[in-house]
Amino acid sequence: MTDAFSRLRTDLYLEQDPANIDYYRTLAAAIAGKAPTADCTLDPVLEAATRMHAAAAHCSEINHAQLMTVVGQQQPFERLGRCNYHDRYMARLARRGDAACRVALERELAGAVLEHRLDPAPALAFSRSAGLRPFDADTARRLLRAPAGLPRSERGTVAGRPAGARRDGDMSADEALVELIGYIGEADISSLVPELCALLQQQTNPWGVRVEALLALSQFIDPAEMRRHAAAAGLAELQDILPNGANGGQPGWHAGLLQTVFYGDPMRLGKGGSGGLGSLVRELGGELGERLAPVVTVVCYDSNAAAYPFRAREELSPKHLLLRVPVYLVGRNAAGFLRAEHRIKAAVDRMLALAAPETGLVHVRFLDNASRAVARAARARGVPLVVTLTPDPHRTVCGADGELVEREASAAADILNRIVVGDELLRWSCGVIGIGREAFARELIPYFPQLENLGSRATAAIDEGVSTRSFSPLGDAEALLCGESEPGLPTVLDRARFDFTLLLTVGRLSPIKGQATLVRAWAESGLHETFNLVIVGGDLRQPSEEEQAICDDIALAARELPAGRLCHLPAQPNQVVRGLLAWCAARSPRYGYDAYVCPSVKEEFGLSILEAMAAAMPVLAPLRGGPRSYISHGINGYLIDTGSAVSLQQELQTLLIENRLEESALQRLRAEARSTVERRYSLGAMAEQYATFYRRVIALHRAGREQS
Amino acid sequence: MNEHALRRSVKRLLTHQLYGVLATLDDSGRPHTSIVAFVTADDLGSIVFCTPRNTRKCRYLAARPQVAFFCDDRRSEPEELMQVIGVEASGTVHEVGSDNATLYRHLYLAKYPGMEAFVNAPESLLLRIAVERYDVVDNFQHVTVLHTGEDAHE
Repeated sequence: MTDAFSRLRTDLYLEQDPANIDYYRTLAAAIAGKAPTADCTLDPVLEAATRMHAAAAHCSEINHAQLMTVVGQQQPFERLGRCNYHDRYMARLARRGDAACRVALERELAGAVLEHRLDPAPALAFSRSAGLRPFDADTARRLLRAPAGLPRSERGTVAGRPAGARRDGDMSADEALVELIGYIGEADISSLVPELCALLQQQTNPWGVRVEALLALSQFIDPAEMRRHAAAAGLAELQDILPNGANGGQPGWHAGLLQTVFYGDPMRLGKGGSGGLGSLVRELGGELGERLAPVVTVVCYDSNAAAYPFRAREELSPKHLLLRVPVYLVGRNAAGFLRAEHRIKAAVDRMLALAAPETGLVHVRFLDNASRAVARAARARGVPLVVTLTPDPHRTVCGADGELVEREASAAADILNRIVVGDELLRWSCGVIGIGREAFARELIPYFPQLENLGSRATAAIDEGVSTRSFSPLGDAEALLCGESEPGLPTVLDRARFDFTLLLTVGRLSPIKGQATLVRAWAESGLHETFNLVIVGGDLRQPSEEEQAICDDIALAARELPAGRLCHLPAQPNQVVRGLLAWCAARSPRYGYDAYVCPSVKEEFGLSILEAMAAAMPVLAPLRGGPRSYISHGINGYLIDTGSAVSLQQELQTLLIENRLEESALQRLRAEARSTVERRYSLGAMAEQYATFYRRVIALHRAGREQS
Repeated sequence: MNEHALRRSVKRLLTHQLYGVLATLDDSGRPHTSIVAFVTADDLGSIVFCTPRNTRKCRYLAARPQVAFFCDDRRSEPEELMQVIGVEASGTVHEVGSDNATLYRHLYLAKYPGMEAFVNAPESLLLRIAVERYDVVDNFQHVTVLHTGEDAHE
């Protein structure tokens, strides 16, 4: 499918040089919703972004004067600390500075901080991002000790900035301290070991600060002493992921494949940011461990949030190891990853340094700065990179009518950044995976026209899959749905309505998943008279901000209904979900049959839908996105318009009431649904495709290395 | 036109044009031409097309894989004589190997989404011209040669 943006991408590919600023100006104009021409007027944020992208694309080395011209500044660092986008891209250019440029930058940074023209926090973050070392041991010590340098009086708030004057580059005092500690480690300032010990042992310091202190310390002290420090600080759990950690300098593990997860935790499915992808990497990791080589899944643990008990190392199966790596984040989203790219890279670097003898390959799955950080770490060590390519955010640039949409400069800069990151990842990769067998033709090539010239890269279009083994129907469904097995849940089914027909939906709580829209559609129609609605997903005991907002929306949509018709369960283990699906598929409710509804605005692929189909449940899935590739409407499920509560309501009414299936037709649909998954989307089939592809990538990489 | 501009011009033409003419030779050396839907790939290094196995061109290609392929942007209007660009690509045809089949097939289907059934049919073959050179004709009779691969930079 093409839209105005995909056509522009092709035109730009054919007509423009990506090292030319006009390329980025045209791209930025389109993303901002303006006429896509190079001579348009851009917002200063976008203007600066285009200059920096173009310079980064064509300069392998840059001198000081060129750098200042590109960033559009008379005084070095006059804008540092105001905008993450600016800071990170300026640092990226500074990394390419020639020797004289880097010396000058270090001198200017040190001078600006010492003369109080520049906050130390952004200077430290910039230095780490750019690999500069402007501060010596004395300065670092002074910054650690001087509250004026790194104000700590307003813990968790903006350092040195009046209320109401927040800028997106501003840092809390804790984040600033984390940057300083990280700098001390990276600059190898061993004389500050006593100070780091004090920060580590001080229990009133936040977890993220103490973790950072331990990570820095581990570079300076021997393993035995470090173990003693970690245990005394209550951080013994971290030993498994520290350099020279529990194994006393020996490699901790071997990774044939290292994959990373930055959204959520695969062991907390349905909570926070963990969704189908978490389930995929967990299940797939186990299968690949058996078929290919040991798999290590590195999960980013936000040491700033620190919201659940920390376990650094979990063996998920004999050949699949999960490592939780603490990274201090300010938001687990694209903007947060941009801000923390250097911290993520440092964390992944530590992990790759621990691997033995060498990591076979690294696989990243999102187009954002977290993946970019991982890719940089992999490249630095010569480890081949595989990227799962999705046209996200590309397909959001245009509206539903396929035309460009006007948007704020900051939103446009974010999208531009991720599109540039996507192009970089593609360029750096040795292997490219598309999700779904038609992914390249339908979605990727229109937005990534450079795929026509992949050189020696391997590509594969792989369908995702789920376990197709038979799950027993849940034995205690009534206890679960009526709230007995988990007392205290506010929204559960009335026992008197337990045999009513049920609509089930499973997934993390997120606006894009459409749970509140489904509740509105169900509540505002007559459907709630006949159908109970069961939602499974989210952390209901410690909800994130986003989860709480969805819960509030759901409560608002259902406020007029009598209690007992809606059940909202927190995220359940996969075993329980599969048992619940099997139970729904097996029972005969009072009216018709239970159905699985996926109300997502769009699904990338829809693993939870496949799980419902594997259980032979009738499924109603969104028209937009992946389900189109495996659902034939009316044959093995239904494709529905999930764009609004009104359209969803009409679809449910038509399919479940007016055109309710007779028994024989229902059995045919169930059989087709199950057969579709067994034939094309089983976990085993998917793992085999991945294993074959990874082997090919490794072989191509080796051949290329031998040739060079 | 410098080489960079020439390459861009050829790529633009091959990306936007839907059909080209493939010239093959039969057993006796008699030329045979046929119209094909094609896609350009590998930075002008390849032209990919799809054909049923039981065609004349397929039979001829099995014996003599050297081909010429022609594509232009004419619209059959008298006044455009000086504006028309024609490109002849010459090279050798290979059946697309399994390693690259996925991407070539997808490139083809991205350009011709309606030809999915044809491409996926068991009797269809995906073939690739490994292009050795392009002869580009513009301004009525101005001919420029563009070599692909390593030759292009010599």
